[in-house]
Amino acid sequence: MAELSPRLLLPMQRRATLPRWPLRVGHALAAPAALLMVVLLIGPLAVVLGLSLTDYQLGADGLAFIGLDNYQAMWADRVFWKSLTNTALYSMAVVPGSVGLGLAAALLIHGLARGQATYRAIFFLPVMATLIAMALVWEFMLHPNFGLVNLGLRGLGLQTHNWLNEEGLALWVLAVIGIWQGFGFNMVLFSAGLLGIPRQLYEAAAIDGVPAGWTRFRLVTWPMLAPVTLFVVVVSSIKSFQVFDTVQVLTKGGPNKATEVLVYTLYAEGFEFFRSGYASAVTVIFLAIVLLITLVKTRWLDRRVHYT
Amino acid sequence: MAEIRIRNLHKSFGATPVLKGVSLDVRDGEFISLVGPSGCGKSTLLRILAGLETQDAGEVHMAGRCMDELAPGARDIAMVFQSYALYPHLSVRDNIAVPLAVRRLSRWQRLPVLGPLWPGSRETRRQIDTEVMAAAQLLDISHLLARKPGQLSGGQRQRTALGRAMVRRPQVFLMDEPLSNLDANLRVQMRSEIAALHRKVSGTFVYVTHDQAEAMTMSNRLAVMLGGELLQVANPAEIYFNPVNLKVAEFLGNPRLNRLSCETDGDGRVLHRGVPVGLRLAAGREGQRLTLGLRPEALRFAPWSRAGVRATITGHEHLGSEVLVHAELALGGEFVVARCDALDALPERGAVLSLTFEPGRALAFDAEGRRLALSEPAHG
Repeated sequence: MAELSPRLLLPMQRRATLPRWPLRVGHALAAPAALLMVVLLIGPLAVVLGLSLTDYQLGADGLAFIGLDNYQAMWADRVFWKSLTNTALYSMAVVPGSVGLGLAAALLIHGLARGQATYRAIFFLPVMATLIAMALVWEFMLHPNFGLVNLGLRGLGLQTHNWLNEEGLALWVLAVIGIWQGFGFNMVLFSAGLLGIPRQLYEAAAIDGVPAGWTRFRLVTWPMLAPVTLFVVVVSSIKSFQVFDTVQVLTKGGPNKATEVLVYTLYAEGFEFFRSGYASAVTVIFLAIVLLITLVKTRWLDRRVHYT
Repeated sequence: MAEIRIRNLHKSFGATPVLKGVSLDVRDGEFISLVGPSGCGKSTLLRILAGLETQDAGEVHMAGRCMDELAPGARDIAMVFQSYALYPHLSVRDNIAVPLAVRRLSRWQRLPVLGPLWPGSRETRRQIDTEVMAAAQLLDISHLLARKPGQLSGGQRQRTALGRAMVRRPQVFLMDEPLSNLDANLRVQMRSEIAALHRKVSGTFVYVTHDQAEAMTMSNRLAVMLGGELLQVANPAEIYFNPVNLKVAEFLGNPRLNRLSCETDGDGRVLHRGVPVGLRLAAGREGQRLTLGLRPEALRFAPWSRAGVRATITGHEHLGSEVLVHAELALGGEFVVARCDALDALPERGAVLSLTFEPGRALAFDAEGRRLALSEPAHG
């Protein structure tokens, strides 16, 4: 070992001096992305967090630090709790509905010998359409007097409803629209997931004597779709928590706050009552919930659905 | 008793014929390999045996029963896939247990939580567990039973797949290139393990491979397929030393069979570019073109004489115990490879010599590749 030539030593010496300048270059290369992230994401988030601790009103000249007063007010606010409950109820209807329907549609389409693309396009249409425009169409359909839904029910001799103005009904009608709008997207994701399942697994199942149908679905399809399902559930949850368009167009949170949801509350507080500080506090809570859903996904569920 | 009788199978994918009338009898307890280059239809034949594909025409009988209307699960078969096809979310234990569980447990007994409480379920489950353990022990994977396939090496996955295949003790094992995803060392090891498994479980094995070494070492018989047809079915030695077709002869053997283009003269003597090679065609006519096939180990070099086939040595490949000597023939420009013992005196590179061979090992084929009979070496 005493005869190590200088040429052999050289790489080691170089290595010792290497890290310094590439680190700087690395930082420089990452800087534009980091800057954009600060300006567009972290900055606004910090502003919202800061505002939620003030009494700022949109357009006002000054603001005062009021600590956690906004959060205290929110805790005592009946409308906020109503809004949070409504959002949770809406999610609990829309997430299983749109995930289940999306999976069912994907399975049915996957089994078709022909016309797969056509059916996928039909079910995907509501996703591509502007929800505000579609909400207007729904408004006509649900109109108590000349709406298609009531006309149909009347024709069948069934009881009609004032769908969007009955307190016990309005939120569920919005949920149905939410499912209709969202399940096409889930269907496309499930379809992609189904295409990714290796054919050999189904063949192995056939040779092992696994009967087609439910048993095969439980043994092969469902476990193999687990990563897609997790993703779909998380995305659907976050999207359903963000529901706003249909509420704004169809009910404006009514009747009697029956369809008041989180994003609508923060919109109303911030841009109708101009209570920006309070709206910021609602936003912080909203973001915390979304963050929680994401954390549950990455920390806990991810480990259970990926098999390698 | 599980002999397999295959009669006149035809199969096309669209306009492409894949099997053109394949007939084959596999004996009970035999290990038969279907070999051939990729695209020759061997995998399709295996999948028809498994019931994963339906033939356009022809019949498959196993143990005297017609299989053509039976679903894969209803045939008494097991299959091992190239990709292993293990259920990734199930442990090794559960993977191996699947064929038993779906057959012996009712739908309700299989339920995840309530199932074990169902009447009779516990007894059956214990029995299944015992059989899974036995299979795992035979394959030396009993210490891996709790693992998921993702935590196993390629060889361990293949053993698990074998376990799932043999746990039900089927009469017929179908294997679709089960070793081709393994590295070379492991492949050699698994080769002998599968052969040993065949002796232990006494089933009929149909083994598809494109690897001639696998086919030659493991099987009782080889079925050589090419272009959707069976060219020859025989034991490995017969196929190697006595091939019926030039393509069969070329497919087996490494390095490949050497080819010399030849023709006959009026006496039926075989000439290479006008030079007699010391052979006579049994039923030859004048001017018949033929191909002489010579295995590398049958070739020798002798000092150059005017009457011989002139060859120039172009190089050597040392493989340890043996050396491959490459040479170019002067008249036809053909290249030949001879397998020589490394301890023998080797011809120098650039040396000009006469090519000789053991006359008894020469193979003659006509222009269509059919084997021609050679008679005893002629004089001159």
